[in-house]
Amino acid sequence: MSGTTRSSRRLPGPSRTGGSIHVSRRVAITAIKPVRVTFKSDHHMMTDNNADWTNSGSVFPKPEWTTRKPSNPISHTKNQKVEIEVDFDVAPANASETVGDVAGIATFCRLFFSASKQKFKGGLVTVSVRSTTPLLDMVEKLSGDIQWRVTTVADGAFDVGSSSGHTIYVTWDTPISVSGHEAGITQKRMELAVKLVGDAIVSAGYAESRLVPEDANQPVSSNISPHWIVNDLMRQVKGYELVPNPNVPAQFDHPQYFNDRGGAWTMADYLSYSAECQAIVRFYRAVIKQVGCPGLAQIMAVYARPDVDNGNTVLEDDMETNSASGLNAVSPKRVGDRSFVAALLDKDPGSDPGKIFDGNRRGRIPGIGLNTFEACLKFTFPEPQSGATPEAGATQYYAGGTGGSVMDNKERVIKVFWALVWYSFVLGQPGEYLVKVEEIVARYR
Amino acid sequence: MDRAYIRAIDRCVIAAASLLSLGVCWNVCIMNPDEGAKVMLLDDRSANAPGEELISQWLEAIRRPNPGDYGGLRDFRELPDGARVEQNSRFWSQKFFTDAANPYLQKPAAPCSTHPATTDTFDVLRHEYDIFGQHLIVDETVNVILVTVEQPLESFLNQPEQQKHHEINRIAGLLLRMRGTMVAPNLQDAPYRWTFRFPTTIGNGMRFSTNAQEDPARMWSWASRMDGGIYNDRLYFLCFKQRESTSGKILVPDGRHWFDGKCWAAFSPA
Repeated sequence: MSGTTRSSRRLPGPSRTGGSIHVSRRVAITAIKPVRVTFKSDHHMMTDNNADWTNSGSVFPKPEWTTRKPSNPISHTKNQKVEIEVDFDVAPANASETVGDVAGIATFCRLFFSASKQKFKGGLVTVSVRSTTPLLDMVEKLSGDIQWRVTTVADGAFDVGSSSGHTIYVTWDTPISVSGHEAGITQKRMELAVKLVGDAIVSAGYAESRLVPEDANQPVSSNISPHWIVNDLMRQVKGYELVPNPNVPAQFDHPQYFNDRGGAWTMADYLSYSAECQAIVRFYRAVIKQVGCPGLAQIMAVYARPDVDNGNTVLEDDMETNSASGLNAVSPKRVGDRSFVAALLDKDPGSDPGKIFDGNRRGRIPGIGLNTFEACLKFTFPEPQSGATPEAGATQYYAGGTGGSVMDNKERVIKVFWALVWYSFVLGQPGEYLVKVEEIVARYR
Repeated sequence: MDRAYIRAIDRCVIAAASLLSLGVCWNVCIMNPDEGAKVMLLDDRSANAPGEELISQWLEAIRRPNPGDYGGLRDFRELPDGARVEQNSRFWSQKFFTDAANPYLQKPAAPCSTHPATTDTFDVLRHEYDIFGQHLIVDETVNVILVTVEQPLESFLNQPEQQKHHEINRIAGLLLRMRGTMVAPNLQDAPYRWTFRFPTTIGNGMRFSTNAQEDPARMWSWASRMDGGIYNDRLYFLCFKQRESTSGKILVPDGRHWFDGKCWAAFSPA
């Protein structure tokens, strides 16, 4: 029989059999220590790569905490209760069973764990506890210890010590691994994403006066539209960049960031050097999805075609689902033995066709910029049901590298260009890239 | 052979090749990862003309300087925008060359020299070294890398065409990454494979391409096209330093201002 000791002492009085009566004497619990802590309500998706931006490493193993080892971090959805399984070592090993209440106090936030009427006896005892309140409605990083206390009916209360070094990345929702070069949930990415989105929530909260007035340190993110977060993030990069910067190591492929080192995640270390619009969009999309931010984020190419309503209907392609985007998909037009190519111009080509410009924008001929599309982040929140039309105002276009330019429809995006034209190539002097505007198909300004 | 004569032949042959190609299918050598090698049929070479003119101009400007016009380069910091030039050159060398043929991976280091641009020439970075028993001259501008196998081809040009094809493909495979990975228009990695489409007869002054349909100024990617040819009895390959067009901007930097960095100023945001 576990938890009792057979006494050899003969009690006075007759026994049923006429012999001695042996009784069991209770063995008191003398010590209780937590030996393992396992989070049960976390996402269990994050890998342990905290060294670089690659999608590598192993998913953090469970249990998160064991005696004398630092706790593994977890990610957990905000505004939800936290469930934990705690293994206690109860001494002595033959201690008698009793009932007790378990309480845990997190030192890093207002989080209390409790479980009542749990059975305790010598040996290993596993208790499931749940926080009495949910995590704050906030994207943030929490770090610290949980102090545990067990109060038993028979043997009194025990301050059993702490499980230490816990880290909780509190996310908006379950992390989403985006497609492409930025796929994957890692600790390094989570650390950054929680910081950026958390700051954006605070920033947007102040900007929109949605912070809880009585406690400015606790903005309630449910009051914050994901649009405001996206807007706040996208304005962090003031201008786009088309030219590789030698201060960014070549392996990261600045400014396009198509690399196998984590794709656009790597631009986190070189934000001041900016990037192409599409890379900026890929980066911030990966950031918001790392913390499960809701909303549909698409990398869109906005443009118009000469052969569609004479360039008067604005078109858009989801770049990741099209084999060719924008005017890259428009074939040259043959006029006699000449070849005309379509382009969107970023300068006024003048009132009449026939002018010659330098695509290099420098030198003896007036310069002009030739484009095949404008890349931007199309963000829709709330996401409509499949096939349904988004609510009015649910979709916004965020141009990458424009310091926070927001447009509510693609018809406004196209106005970054002056005109859609057919041009022809004109052989100039070496180093020039001369084009002749042959037809002005449509004007947008 | 007289340069003007070569240029004239070059143009005539291109024009002739254009005519011959009517009704001929040209391979676009970008593989669909799901379907393996995918062949797309193209029947319109009209888009070639601007690209061919531009390429011819580039080649002429690169070949215009005399060897004595080049000066040794010990350190890229000697150039006004040296750090960017070096990064750019290393980036593209890694992209185009096999490791064995990469000028930056030669031991001992491949000698490097530069030719500063004039009104009708470009800033040219030259590496000269021996590899696989061949002497290579690698001339690089901000727009292209021209790899010339510095070995006369008299006997080569008398071989049967199939033998020429085989030999050109063999040398190209030793020097260049004829297959690899590019960024596709859907922003995902996709395999590419370069396969030359040879003219009926390969001779001096001829140029051939993996995809002559593509305009090097407008094509999606550096992987969209690579050229080769015979010039002055030497085999050469021409790689286009065209980043994937993911920005939506058409970039053809001024080859006369690579070393001073002014070629990039045009593409900085206003």
